[in-house]
Amino acid sequence: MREVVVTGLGFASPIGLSAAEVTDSLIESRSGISLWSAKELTKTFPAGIVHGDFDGGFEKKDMPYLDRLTKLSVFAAEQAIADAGLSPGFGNFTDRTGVFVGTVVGGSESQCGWTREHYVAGKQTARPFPIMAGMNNAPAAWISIRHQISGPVLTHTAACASSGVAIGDALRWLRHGDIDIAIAGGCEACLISPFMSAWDGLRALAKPDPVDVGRSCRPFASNRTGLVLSEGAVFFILETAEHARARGATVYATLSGYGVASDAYHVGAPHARGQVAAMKAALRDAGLQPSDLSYINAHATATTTGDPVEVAAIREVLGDAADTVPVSSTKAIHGHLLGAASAMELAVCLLAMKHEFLPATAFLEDIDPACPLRHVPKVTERGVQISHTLSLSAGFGGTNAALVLSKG
Amino acid sequence: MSDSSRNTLSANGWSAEAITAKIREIAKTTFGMELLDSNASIKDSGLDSLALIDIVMGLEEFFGCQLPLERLPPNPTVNDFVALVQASQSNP
Repeated sequence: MREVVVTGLGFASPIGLSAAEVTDSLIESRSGISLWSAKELTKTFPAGIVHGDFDGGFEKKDMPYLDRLTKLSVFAAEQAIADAGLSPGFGNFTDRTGVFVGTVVGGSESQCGWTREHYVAGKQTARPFPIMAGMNNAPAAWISIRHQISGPVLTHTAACASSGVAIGDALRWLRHGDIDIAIAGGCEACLISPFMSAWDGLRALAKPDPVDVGRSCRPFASNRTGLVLSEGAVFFILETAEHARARGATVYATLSGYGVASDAYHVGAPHARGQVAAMKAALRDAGLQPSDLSYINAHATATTTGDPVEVAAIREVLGDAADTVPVSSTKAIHGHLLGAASAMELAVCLLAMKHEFLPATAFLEDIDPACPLRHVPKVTERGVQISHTLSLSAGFGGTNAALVLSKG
Repeated sequence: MSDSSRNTLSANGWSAEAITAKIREIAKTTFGMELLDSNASIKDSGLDSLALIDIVMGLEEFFGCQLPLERLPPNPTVNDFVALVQASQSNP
């Protein structure tokens, strides 16, 4: 089986628009969460907003086709391409390359924009663009068109595990020898009032912290109040080790394991058994024992019910190593990127490995007794060698994805 | 098309120059395209078939008329659009 390595990384995230910015935010536990509001809603919410100009790389004639989701995705994907030393030149690989994208809701601004025109303004016919701007596979399509990638261009949706599954699928295509190089990651851009108010209906969103809104997401903490929704896009360049060597690429790490499993339990409530199965499958795939792990980036969204279920799953997988393998949830500073969550958190693992630090669960003052782990509370631990990391994502509907990165 | 450019007048009485100006304005405002040559293929300038539909919708809204797309040639020019609008004036 072919070894697959990471050779490029790109971000449009609430904690940075580059690997350097994201690394600094992680090391300093600098929150990217701020107060979000909309004129349609009386409530305000903490949210991870991505700040920047993402229109610059496009021709105006293409703009009607482009949802914010696609703009963020192209920005992050092209940063990853450049980081991998592939600009220009990706198109030379033709059908031996692919694009693998995870997203939950697709181009929500475009979908909801037309819905408003139809239901509120009574318009009978849309302009020609909302269908193609709003479809879930628009980001993958635009990346493929801009870079002439003519192999598999696929979009995955598995709620909060979407990009984990997309990255895992890319890994399988590469391992099987069907392609040599891929762009893989995830995206989400749904910080709009119809979506926020629908999420509010789940009673799962965090309340804004009254003192510092940036501290509103508190995974594993006794005083956690819920999750913080975010937007963003995170992409990797994955390629076979052989291909990377042949072109002299710099290798970040080996993507050594992937596991996916389902709870088969409840559409909205997690069960530890699916998470356990996904993590065990990923470790088995990587040929590792639980005690080999140097760090786990947990899904931990900071909901009352979700965190203890995941803690139980992690403890079951780690067994005797449950009190020694460090675990954190960096959602405390970047929030929940939904379709980009797995990609964001795998990237955190990658940067932790590269720069030798254990990312903290920021703002974790008072650990919930129902969440016993070897935590990394409040402050990032520096100078820590990381050999193998695991990142877990657990989605509504019960799909769980775990990814393992190994050094070298 | 921006709200300020909407016009509820019928197409009756609009000159070819005025219709041309409106087409150019839509192409410029929405797609950033300069359609300076009225006899040149619009598609050759870089606009696709959906952009042409959008221009037609903009003209329909502005002039308050219905423009049958099927009467456009496969590779229309600005003048073809002008003729379509003028035909709607004579056959509203």
